[in-house]
Amino acid sequence: MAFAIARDGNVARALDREHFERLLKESYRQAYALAYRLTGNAADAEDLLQDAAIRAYRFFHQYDPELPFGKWLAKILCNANVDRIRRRGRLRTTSLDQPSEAGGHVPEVADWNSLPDRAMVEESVSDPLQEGLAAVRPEFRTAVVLADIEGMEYEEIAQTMGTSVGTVRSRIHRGRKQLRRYLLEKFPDFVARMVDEL
Amino acid sequence: MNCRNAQAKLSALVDGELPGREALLVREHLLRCPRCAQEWRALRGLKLAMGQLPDVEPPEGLEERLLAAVRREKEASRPIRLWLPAAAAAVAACATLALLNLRADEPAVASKTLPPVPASFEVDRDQAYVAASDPFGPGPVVLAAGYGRR
Repeated sequence: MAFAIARDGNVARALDREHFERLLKESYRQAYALAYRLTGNAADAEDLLQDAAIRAYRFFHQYDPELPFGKWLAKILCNANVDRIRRRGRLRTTSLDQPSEAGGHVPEVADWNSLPDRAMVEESVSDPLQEGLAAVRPEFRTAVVLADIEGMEYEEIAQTMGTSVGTVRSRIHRGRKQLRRYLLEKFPDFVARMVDEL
Repeated sequence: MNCRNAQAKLSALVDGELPGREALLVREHLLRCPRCAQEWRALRGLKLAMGQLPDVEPPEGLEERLLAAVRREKEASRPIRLWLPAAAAAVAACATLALLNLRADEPAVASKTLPPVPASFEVDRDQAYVAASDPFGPGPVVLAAGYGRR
């Protein structure tokens, strides 16, 4: 009987694997675009997506088929990106959403040379917005990308990032402010054109 | 509403995520404050520009590389997954045998599971006991082993 259960389990897993590969084929393009916007270059985007795909496969038994697979994969990808940045030792351990221990607020980034993704800034070429995104703190960047490029609502972003709607609102606002300040400093003409086109 | 309150809500206004009354208050402020209105235009322009970023095309062969990575993960986890049910069945079988063996060696449990004694045997046994207890009786009577426990 135990062997029959094991055999049935293998059959179910084989079907799951086929199902997983089919869903991945349908979703990987959009997931790659998100990975590219989060990392700023093709090599890191592919590594990140591969990491996310393997994690998704490992935890596929937890996937709720009622939900879009692409959104589930995006959530895993965002988490994998946070881990990737932590591994690189570039993510501050203090929360940027909360006041500092001294009671004051954590200052906005002023020194662009000490940015969390300095390498990403250097690798991003020819696109002021992509370069500007690299200058934004990773948590803020993720929230801005999910809102402006993926077109998610705040509630959806909160679920994807595992945080509250209030935190999402704060991250998006601070992310856009950082992005705008960077663009004003590095690409003032681009900002002027952007406003003129409105 | 002052500038500080209004500015903190500008991004949410741009995203259409501000509740009706709050949105109305911020909009009223923007009509009166050119500086905040300029900030709102800038944030809106940024959002529109982000939305117009060109689509990112995946590199050649990415689909195949992703599927290959997932299949490598499958292969890496297969030996454990295949042996797990068989190992579980073997452990369960050993545990059952060990339990049966323990029960066979346990005397207290065995005495509780003896078959019922016929009534005629009980009468004979009690008469023998009375005879053995009689000081004027003919002599010692040999009783069955375990009689005292019944």
